[in-house]
Parts: sequence; structure tokens; C-alpha cells
Amino acid sequence: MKYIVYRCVYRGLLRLLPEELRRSHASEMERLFAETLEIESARRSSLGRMYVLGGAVLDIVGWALSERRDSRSTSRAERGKAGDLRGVRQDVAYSIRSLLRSPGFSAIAVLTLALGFGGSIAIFSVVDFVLLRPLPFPEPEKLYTVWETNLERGRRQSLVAPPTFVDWREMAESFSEMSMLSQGTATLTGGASPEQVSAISASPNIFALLGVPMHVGGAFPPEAESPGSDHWVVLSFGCWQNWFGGDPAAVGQSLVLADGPHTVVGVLPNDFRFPEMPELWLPQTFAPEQLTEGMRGARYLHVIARLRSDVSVDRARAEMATIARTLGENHANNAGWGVSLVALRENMVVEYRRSLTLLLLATVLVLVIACANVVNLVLARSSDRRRERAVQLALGATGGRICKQSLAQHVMLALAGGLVGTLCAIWAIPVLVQLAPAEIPRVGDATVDARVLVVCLTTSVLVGVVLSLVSLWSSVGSDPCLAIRSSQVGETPTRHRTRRLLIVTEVGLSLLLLIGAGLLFRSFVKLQQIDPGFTTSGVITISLSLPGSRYGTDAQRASFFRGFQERLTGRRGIQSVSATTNVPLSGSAMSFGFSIDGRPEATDNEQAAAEYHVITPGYFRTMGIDLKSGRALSWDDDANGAAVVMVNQTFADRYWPNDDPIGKRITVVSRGGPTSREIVGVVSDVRHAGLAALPKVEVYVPFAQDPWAFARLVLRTTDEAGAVMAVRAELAGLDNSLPIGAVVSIEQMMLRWLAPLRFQMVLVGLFAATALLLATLGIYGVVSYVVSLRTNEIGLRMALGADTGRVFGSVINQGIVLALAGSVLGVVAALATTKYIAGLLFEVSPTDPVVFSGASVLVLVIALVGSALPARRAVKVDPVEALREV
Amino acid sequence: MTATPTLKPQWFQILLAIADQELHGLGIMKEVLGQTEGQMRLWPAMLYGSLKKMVEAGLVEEKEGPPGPGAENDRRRFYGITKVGRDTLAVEVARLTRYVQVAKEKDIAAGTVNS
Repeated sequence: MKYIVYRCVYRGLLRLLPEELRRSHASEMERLFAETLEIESARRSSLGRMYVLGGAVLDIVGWALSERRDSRSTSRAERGKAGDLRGVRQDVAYSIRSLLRSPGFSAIAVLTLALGFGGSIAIFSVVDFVLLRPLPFPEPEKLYTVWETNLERGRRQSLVAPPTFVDWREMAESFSEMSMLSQGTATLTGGASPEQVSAISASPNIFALLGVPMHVGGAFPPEAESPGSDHWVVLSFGCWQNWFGGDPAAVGQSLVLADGPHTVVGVLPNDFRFPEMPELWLPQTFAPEQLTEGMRGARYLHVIARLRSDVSVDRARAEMATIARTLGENHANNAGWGVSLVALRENMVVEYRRSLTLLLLATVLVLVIACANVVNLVLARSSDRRRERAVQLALGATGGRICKQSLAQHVMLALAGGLVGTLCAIWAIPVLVQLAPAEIPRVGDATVDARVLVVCLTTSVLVGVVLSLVSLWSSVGSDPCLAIRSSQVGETPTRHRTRRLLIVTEVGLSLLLLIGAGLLFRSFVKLQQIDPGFTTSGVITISLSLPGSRYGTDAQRASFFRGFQERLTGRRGIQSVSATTNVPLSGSAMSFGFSIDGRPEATDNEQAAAEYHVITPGYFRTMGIDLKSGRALSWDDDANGAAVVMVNQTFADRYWPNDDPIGKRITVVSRGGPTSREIVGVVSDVRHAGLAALPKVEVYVPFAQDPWAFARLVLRTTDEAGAVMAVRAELAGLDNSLPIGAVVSIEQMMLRWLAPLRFQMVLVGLFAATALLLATLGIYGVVSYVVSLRTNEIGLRMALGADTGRVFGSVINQGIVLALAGSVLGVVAALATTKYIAGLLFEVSPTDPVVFSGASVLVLVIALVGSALPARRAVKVDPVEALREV
Repeated sequence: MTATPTLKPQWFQILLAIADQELHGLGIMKEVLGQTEGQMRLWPAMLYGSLKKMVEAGLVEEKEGPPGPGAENDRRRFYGITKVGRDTLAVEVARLTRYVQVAKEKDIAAGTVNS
């Protein structure tokens, strides 16, 4: 049966209805509820279920109230509505008074609930902003990311090559707009000193596609679509504020970038959000020389498209598949490649969905444990309050009135918990956002807003209703006379069993969380033990990009980097220096097609592409990458020298498993088309895309033979600040209009790469610790209670000469039995569920015995501590005192 | 015009929903949702509470529905309109039609706002 939890809650709620209606219609009402739940959750998933549950609560409460009003108005029409309202006011006032009367109970209950709510609300608001909300564009469901895909080569989602994109745009009819994007930097040269800023180059129709109206001005003009007419720029809101002081007259003015002046055509609105938030948007079109056959292997564009309103996504998929087949038949570099359409939102969050869902589940578990603890408190208290209730009943209070009071009281309690929790969440969210990896889209927007509050309010009310039901249920069947008469306030066996059952569940759930946290932790440790293939400490990188206007030719670019590197070599604090197009872990990578000369069959079938790096001499020494065989590259490998290349170990092992690759020739495609190059050396593998990703086939080409306009300087230093100063000084000496880009150390990149893992590990660990604390408190509470009930008995036994150790042991046993049962439950639950986080683990089995046994032992030890405290109190019982109380 | 007791809105919608067919709970809920264009959702307590009272008032009668899809013993209760129910509905519809007529005479067309 589906939605069992929801149905149980609903079944509990039905008890609020008049007996008569319930007897005749309860099962049908429950069925209708389940059916509505099914329909709504298919439409709106989890929010739909919340909506149905919230609606059902209001429905039942509303019906119960209107019934009462009807019956009153017929019997006591003269009193009118005022009496009803007065009744509600009285109940609320009574419940507040009663909660204030036992401040200890109220404070502990509210704080426990706040602990559960606070974490849940904070994580929920992040999840809500990142995963659940639609993108802030008109008709966001029509936006798709379009990928090239080649399953045979394990490339499920590959970026797109420019000629392929241009073909798609011409041939596809299912889309109203299609755009490409590529992220980069631009250099502002208009100011006192040049400045490097982030920029996205995109097709000029990008804003029409997204449906973003400009804050000031307009989008790119239609003439921006013709190649060569790209001297326009759209500013981000922040950039407009900084450089133009928010002056609307900025539109039409010129912004001088390295490649000439660009006219400002528009300013984006302040609330515009796109996963990447560059300062500038530049129009990009492709010149014929960028659309050669060779470029079909150069896949580096993001492509997004807006589906036409009258076309279904299935039809678009079918059309794109046909186009891909046609392209594959006509172009070797397209053969075997298909197209995949993924909803833009899905694509933005796919990496974080699993991790955030895990965190949300973890917080919900903490909330459940917190609720179980409060239910425990309520049970303990309700046994104390049985006499009070019995007196009320004896004095003529109706059952209904007592129900209402109980409901008011517990809902107030839960609302207070929710309120304090919300305050905690408001405080915690900025901390959470700080801790979260900045790459998570829209995470910075997360806040407690009306929507989050509604969910929080509904949950609070529900928790209150559940608490009230538990409390009422536990007092059912208490005979007023008996209760008043009994001097001993005790518990019925059933209720005690319930409390123990709750503790077992709590321990089980905490162990489940602890095992989850343990698995993530172990996986994190394993990752850090991996050899990335390069040294991480003492290496900094600085990005540089050369403007096309002054560095238009290969020779100019090659000579700039050679001169710069020579100037820096030997400067104080710099041990070695070099440059590369793609630094490991930086997220930048280029991939080009290649073939092995004389062995076309080796790469024909798979349309091989290799990770392509362009490096200056000294790169491997600077990065600490081992040379396995052959020689490293030198400045002699320039445009006049023989075309050479180095490959990594994976490359050598795959294509020459039994042979020496040195001296063999491969043809590699790059900007200038295919070039046949001789392999002169083999280097060890590098985990370029992150510690968890296995190395791919990689080639290293000498910079002087393929000088790109951008590169990252890589410096091994003993004095970081000194090295950066030296770079600044030498750069000014060489070309004082070039800006120095961001300085990032390899260590920082490693930390940034580890950040998402650290984030989820720290949070799950935190939740597990909270859960464990709550469970320990629960055990402590139950064992203490048992001790208080047994004070007389213990005193008697001690007076008769019982051994202290045995008394201590018998009390501690109470806690240990609960903890053991809970551990079994937790281990079983973990065995059944940890497979769902296998994808987040690295080289750790989801049923890792070390973690399972470690966590169980930890839980047992803590349970021991939780029950040792009351046990100590038990053996300190003074027999004389205890016996006097009998 | 004398103040004839009017039907509660949800009673009116339920009678309208089953005026030409016998329906079970979910059916009525969906029909009402449809005929009010999503404006009125009858939640379980409201729906069955109303149905129970309408049966007591003689507007609606319970029918034994066809057997459920499985062999399980879960026959749904179906509800049909009675003669009294139909008459009451007709009176209510006539009342509403009168108001619409008056509105038309005062030149208030549906969907427009006189400024």
C-alpha cells in the first residue's frame, strides 16, 4: 500500500470527527484521501502531498467546528458565535498557562522540536530554491540543454562542436530558438589599469531564448547575428552599478575591451539568475574558418534551446535523432554521435540532486527523532496529568472539551518549536550557504520565505496534532475514580511499552544516520589518499589572456610566453615556472580528435578524442608530474622544429600495450586542423577531472607549436606573495596593458573540488551527532523514569543487603536492551537503504563492515553512558529514605 | 421576494454532479472540481459529511456500486439523486436563473466590468 505514513496520520485525524460519521464513512474517506494523494503527487510530487495533507487537516478541523456550531445553534441559538470564539480563546489561554506552569517540560520540548525543525527548515529552503522551484524564466519547462552523446564511448552528455551547432540550428524545426554559450574572460582596458572580468560569449538570440527583459536598453541587435559584427556588450546589473553608477545613459556608450570598443546595448535585471553569473555577455557568431571539418571534433559549446509551444519534447527528440544521423553519414567526426535533450533545470541541478536529497532525508530523520523524544516527554507527563484530567472529567468537563484543550496545547507547543526552529534556520542558512559549494546553482538565494514558512507551519500543526493524539490515546480508558484515588502516579504497561518502542526506533534511526555519515567519511578519507599524479602544495596558477589585436599571430603569442617565462625564471621565490592551457582540477579541458598514423583501424571505430593540453617547457617539473620515458619538451620544439607530442601512460597502455610508443606518430586535430606529430615522451597519469575520475587518454603539445591566446601560468614557489609581485613587475615590463588574472593555488583548487563532498559529509555528520544526542537523552529519560518508579524496590533490596554492583547492572541493563534492539533495527535499515547512496561513495562498499561495526559500537557505548547516570543515582538511594516513602 | 432557504453551495454542486449519473466519492469530487473549473474542491470530510446529511434530508440515496476490480471486498458506495433532490435542484436553478435574468435586464454582461 502506498503512502502508508500519510494514511496513518489521516486515520488518526479522522478520530476528531463525530463517532457516527466515522463509523459509517471512515474507510471511504480514507480511500478518497489516498486517491487524491495519488493524483496530486503525480502532478506536483512532494509539494502535492503536503498540499493534500494540509487540505485534509483543514477539512477535518473545519468540518468538526462547523458540526459543533450547527449543533449549538440549534440547541442554544441565543448564544451565537461569541461563545464558540470564547471557547477557542479560553482553550488557547489555558494551554499557554498550562505550558508555563511546567517550564522545564515546555522548554525541553520546544528546544528539542526546534533542533529538529531548524535543521529541516534550513535544508528544505536550500533544497526548495535549488531543486524544486522552476527557473525564473517564462515557460521554463520549454527550456532544454542539448548535448551530443556517444554511449559507445561512455560520453552521455558531451559539449557540442561549433559546426554541429550551426547545422542543428539550421536544420531543427522543433525549437523556437537555439543558442550556444561558452564561458571565458574579457579584458577591460579602458580604465587606469587593465582588468580581467568574467564573460560569457553566447549566440545573440540568448536573451530572446531565455525570455529575459532588459532592465535598461535592449538585447543584442539583429545585425549581431552576422559574423564579424560582434562589437556589442550586455552588462550584468552589478557591473552597470560599478562602472556606470547605475546611469541609464550607459546604453549606447562604449566599453573598451582588449579587442576594441564594444557598444553597451542593455543591462540585465538585478534578479536575473543563470548558473554562471558573468559580468559581461558578448555576442558570438562563427566565421567559416571556425566551421571546418576538423572543428567537428572540438566539442566545447553549451547549447540550450527553447521548444516551440506546439511541439512535444518527444517529437523534438525524434527530429534531433534524424538530424544526428544525417550529420553522422556526411561527416566522419559526427559518426556515432547522437543528441540528448535534458530539461535545463534538471541539467543545472543533476549533480546536486542526490546529495541534497540525502541531506533533506537526514534532517527529516532528525525531525522524526526529535518528535519521538517529545512524544516520550508527553507520555511521561501525561501519566502525571492523568489525575488532573480525571478531576476535570469528574467535574463535568466533556470529552470534546478536553480533546480541544489537548489539541490547543500540543499545537501551541509544536508551533513554538517551529517558531524557534525557524529563527534558528534564519540564522543557520547563511552559514549553510557559506559552507555550501558555490557551484550549486541558486544556493545563494536560499532564504526562509512565505513558501518555506507555509510548509513549516503545516508541518508544525501536523506534529502538534500527532502529539495531541498520542497524549489523548494514552489517557483513553483511564477511569476517573481510579485515577483520582490512586496516590501513586504510574504508567500503564502499554504506555511504558510504547515509550520503549519509541526509544528503540530513535536508536535505530540514529544508527542509520551514523552509518551514513561514517560511509561518507570513509569515502572522503579514501579520496584524499589517492595520488592525483601531481604535487598540490606550493604551486600557484595565474591566468593570462592575450588580446587578438596585438597578439594576432602564432609567432607573437609564442614569443610573448617564451619571453615572459624566461624573465620569471630564477626570480626570488620562484623555483620553476611554465604555462598550460588546462590546469588539473580547474574544470577547464579541451578534447580533440586524433588518429594513429598507419593504424587507422585503431581509432576508426571509436572516433577517438584525447584531452588536449598545450604546455610550455618545464610544466612537468613544476607540477611534479613524472616523466616515464622519452624526453620532455623544450623551447626548441617550436614552429621550425619537428612536430612533436607527449602522451600520458593511459594513452601509451591503450594503443601500444606491448610496444614502445616513442617515435610513433599520431595525427591530432587542433585549431589549425590536423597535424601529424611524433611521440617523444610518456608522462605518468594525472587525475585531471578530479580525484574520483579515472585518467583519460591525454596529449601534451608544445606551446610554441600551437600557441593559444590564453594560458595559465604555473609557478612552483617558496614565497607566494613574492612570486605574484615578480609576475606583476615582469608583466608590466613586457606589456603594461595586460592584466594579471586570478591567482589560484593548486591547493585551493583541490579544496574547491573537495568542497561538495566535505559539505555533505560535515552536514550528515552533524545531523548524526544531533540524532545520537537526542537518542541518548531519550534513553536517559526512560531509564531515569524506571529508576524513579523502582526507588522503593531498590531501597528495599539494598536494605536487605543486595550487592551495589548487581543493582547497578540491573538498571543499566534496561538501557542496554533498548540500545541493542535499536542497533539491530538500525543495522537492518542501513543494510536496506545505504545502497541508495552508493553513487556518493568512492571505493567504499555501502555495506562496509568497518563502518557498520564502528557505528554500532559507538551507539552502544553512548547508550551505556546514557543509562549509567541514572544507574549511579539508583545505587546511591538511601534505603532508609526509600523505605519511609512506601 | 420571500426568503426561501437556499442550498449550501457544496450541496448544490453535489446535486448537480449526480443529476445525470450515479457517482462514488472520488467521482463526485472530480465532477465538482470540473464543473466549477477547479474553484471548489470537496475534501473527504466535507464531501462525506454533506452526503450523509443529504441522505438524511432525502435529497440523495445510496446505491450499491459494481464490484471493485479485485476480488477484495471493497464495494464503493455510489450516490444518486432522488426525486426530492431533483426538485430541490430545479428550484435552486430557477432561483439562480431569475437572478441572472435580472442581471441581464440591468445590462450586466458576464465577464465585463462597468466602470
